[in-house]
Amino acid sequence: MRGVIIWLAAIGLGLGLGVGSVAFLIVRGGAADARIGNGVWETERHAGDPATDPYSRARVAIFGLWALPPEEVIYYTAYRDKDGAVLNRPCRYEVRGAALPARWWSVTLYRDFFLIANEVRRYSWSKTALDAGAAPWTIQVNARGEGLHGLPMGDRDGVFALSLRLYQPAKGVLERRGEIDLPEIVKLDCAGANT
Amino acid sequence: MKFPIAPLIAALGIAAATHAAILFSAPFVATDLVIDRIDKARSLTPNRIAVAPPAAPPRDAVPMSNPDTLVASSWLDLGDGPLVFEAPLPEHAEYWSVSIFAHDSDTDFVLSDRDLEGASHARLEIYGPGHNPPATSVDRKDVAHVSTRRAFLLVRAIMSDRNDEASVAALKEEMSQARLELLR
Repeated sequence: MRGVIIWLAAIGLGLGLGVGSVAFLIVRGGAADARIGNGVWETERHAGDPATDPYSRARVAIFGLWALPPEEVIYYTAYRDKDGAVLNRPCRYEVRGAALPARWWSVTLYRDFFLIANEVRRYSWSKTALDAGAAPWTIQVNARGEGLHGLPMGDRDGVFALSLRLYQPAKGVLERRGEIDLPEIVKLDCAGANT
Repeated sequence: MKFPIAPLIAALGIAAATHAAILFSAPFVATDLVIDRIDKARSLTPNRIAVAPPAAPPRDAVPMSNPDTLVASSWLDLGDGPLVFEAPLPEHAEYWSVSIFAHDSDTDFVLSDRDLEGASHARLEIYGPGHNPPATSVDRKDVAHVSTRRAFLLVRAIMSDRNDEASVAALKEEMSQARLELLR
């Protein structure tokens, strides 16, 4: 009887270790240079590329299936404001940017990796929707999407992410993904807090 | 007490096998799950292109989908031979591309309106594993070499304003003219 219990425990331990380790490495692992950071924004170096490492391939398949390669679109994602705090629904944020070096670009808000339902059907702001030309622009991110260029965070909590897409980046941008000027995510205040 | 070394080795072996199985099957499973989700929403037929309404909750089947993109798509079954894709290039899209993703989620092919340099029409030959594309096809922009028999084709067109119903309807009409046929 003791032997059976030991073997069952070994199988359970093996399965647990296998699932846990692969989940951790898919979310946080991959090749050392698999991701490029630029402030709070982060992008996959080889999204969709057959030459990428298996952890990065699995991560892109699960969280951003059918992404185009970075020569076509650079996908940046940010989960934090410029001070490093996680994006949080009781808080109000302002995204501050200027013209970006790409044929077309957009900023989209997600909760738990999906679009957030709202009455005005506003999920993103783009180069064309902002109609900013070369002028600086701002986007207001808060629960109800209030303010000029508002993006609603909706009525419940979750993992919030802002995605910045640069379609057909200008020459030289691909090599400088970690250095180009990207929008700032500034926390304005939080409900019930003196932030 | 004797240390149970054999079960410990077995546990490590099971852990390694589980790790590898999940890692290498995840892209296939993710692809199949999303195709099933799309299929439930609008009954996909292999090798037949369908235009979807703009992504919106709760019907956005793909995680982190682009809400400004109008998408026409088909899952590809290359078992009966190579295919031909043909589509007019929309006049009012901010960006247009056709891309093909292998079953393991790799991007096997991308062709955009910029590559077509002002053309009004796109034509693409699609070859799968076991097919014999012409020797001259290696460097051609209008020939796709797909690494798996089952794959997914996506046509993306970026809308100027997704809330402008008239312009979205016009773009959708242009996108609906995309066709897939067996190459003869």
